[in-house]
Amino acid sequence: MNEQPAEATAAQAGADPAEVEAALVRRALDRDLEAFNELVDIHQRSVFNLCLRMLGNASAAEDAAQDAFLSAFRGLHTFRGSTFRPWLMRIAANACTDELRRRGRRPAISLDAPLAGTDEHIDVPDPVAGPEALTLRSEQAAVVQRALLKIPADQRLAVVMCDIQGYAYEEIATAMDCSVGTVKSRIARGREKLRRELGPMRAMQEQSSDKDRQGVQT
Amino acid sequence: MNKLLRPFRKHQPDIDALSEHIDGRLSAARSSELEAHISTCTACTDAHAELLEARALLAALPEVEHPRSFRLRQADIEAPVRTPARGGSSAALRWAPACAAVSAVVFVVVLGADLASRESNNSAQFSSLESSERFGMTAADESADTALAPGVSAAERQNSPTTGGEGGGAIDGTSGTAASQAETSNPQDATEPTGAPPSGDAPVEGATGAEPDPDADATAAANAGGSNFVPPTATAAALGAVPPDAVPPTTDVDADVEQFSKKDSDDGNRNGFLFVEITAAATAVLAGAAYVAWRWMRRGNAA
Repeated sequence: MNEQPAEATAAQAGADPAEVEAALVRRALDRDLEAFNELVDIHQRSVFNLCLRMLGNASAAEDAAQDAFLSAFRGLHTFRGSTFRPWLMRIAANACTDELRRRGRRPAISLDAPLAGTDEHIDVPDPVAGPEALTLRSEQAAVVQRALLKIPADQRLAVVMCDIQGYAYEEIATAMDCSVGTVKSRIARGREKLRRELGPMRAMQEQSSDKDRQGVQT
Repeated sequence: MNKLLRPFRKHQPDIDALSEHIDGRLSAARSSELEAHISTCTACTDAHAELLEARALLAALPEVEHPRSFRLRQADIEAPVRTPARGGSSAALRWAPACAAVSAVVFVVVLGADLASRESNNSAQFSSLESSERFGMTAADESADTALAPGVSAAERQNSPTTGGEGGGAIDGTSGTAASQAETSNPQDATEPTGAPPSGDAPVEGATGAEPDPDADATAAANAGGSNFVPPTATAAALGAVPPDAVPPTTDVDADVEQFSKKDSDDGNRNGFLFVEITAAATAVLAGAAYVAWRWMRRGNAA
């Protein structure tokens, strides 16, 4: 394995991450696959999560993420601009749209089994670390994910990027190739619709969690 | 933003503004204005709370670890590109509506031509019958009018009592040569029918050809009362109702033969039309049905 790129990156460890990234992009443009793969290492988690929230199941998200990186490598020559991340997210969003088309408008998600990955790899620090808290959280996540799938894809992308991944309006506008005004209205409508979808579900959720608390503890 | 509360009407919250507000993207002035309003308006208070809750629930979704590395291998970048799956049949069926439309148009056009040709057949027969009456034929001739042959045959019959069909030449609506032969030969019956081309031009030719002929067959013309006698077919042509198949038979038998052959060609035309009509209609219906069925099946899959 070629050690040189790793050393070069390590030397730049103290440098501005944006510059590091720009250097990697330049090398990747020269058909340096290893440089591109370092970009993959940096961004694969957020790309996968974007796809997961957009599509609702891990298997579809894997396919979409793989396609996204492949498209990104092939289309790297079209990248113009300052930040790599929104450009990559646009490619990921397009890969999700393609995947949605392939699998039908409503991707199949199992209502019985918890969402793959949510109960095994929960990284959110939780003061209540008991199994009960974990179960509640994964149940809630499944409920919210189901509701997310019911809102239109463009609103879904906007709220996922804004509220889950914390992008600014402008970055989202780049990723979605639309105006900031459009982004604002998509976020607003997405949130409103999500809340409406969750309304009846939330009532049921509260009832069942009340029962859990009152019920027999095993 | 001074939206007065009406007691009988619930205030419609400005969701866009509220959403921007919770993201801290409203200008300071607008933001404080909105805050002041929210505190007095229950509808906006509820909407504000709902937006906050939606955002919180989304933010609470756990970030999931990627199940595997998405690093690209050399083989990945050299492999052929995976294209989105589209049904192979969809390409063919995209042509279905155009095909159906074209078939429908063909059907209408051919039907129109078919009906028009039938009409002109009928009207030509009627007008030729009319014109023969106009020239005041004898009673014997009037009975001949009922025959479907063009009025020429009536004129023929006028001649036959006097001469053995000698005057046939003057009223031969086919060709000048046949007309000149008519005065000399009795077996003109044989020549005329065969030499008679069933074309729409024939009666017109006959009209022009008949006029110089009176010199050639003066006796026949005299017998026929020819100089005053204008061939009905010429008149029919002048009237504009040109029978497309004006074959002037000289005898009844020949008339019948000509009738049948004319009928055969008519039927041939009609069969041809009918065939095209049926094919075009069937194509239009099948193509249209196939396209509708394809769209109906795809309705659940369209993104």
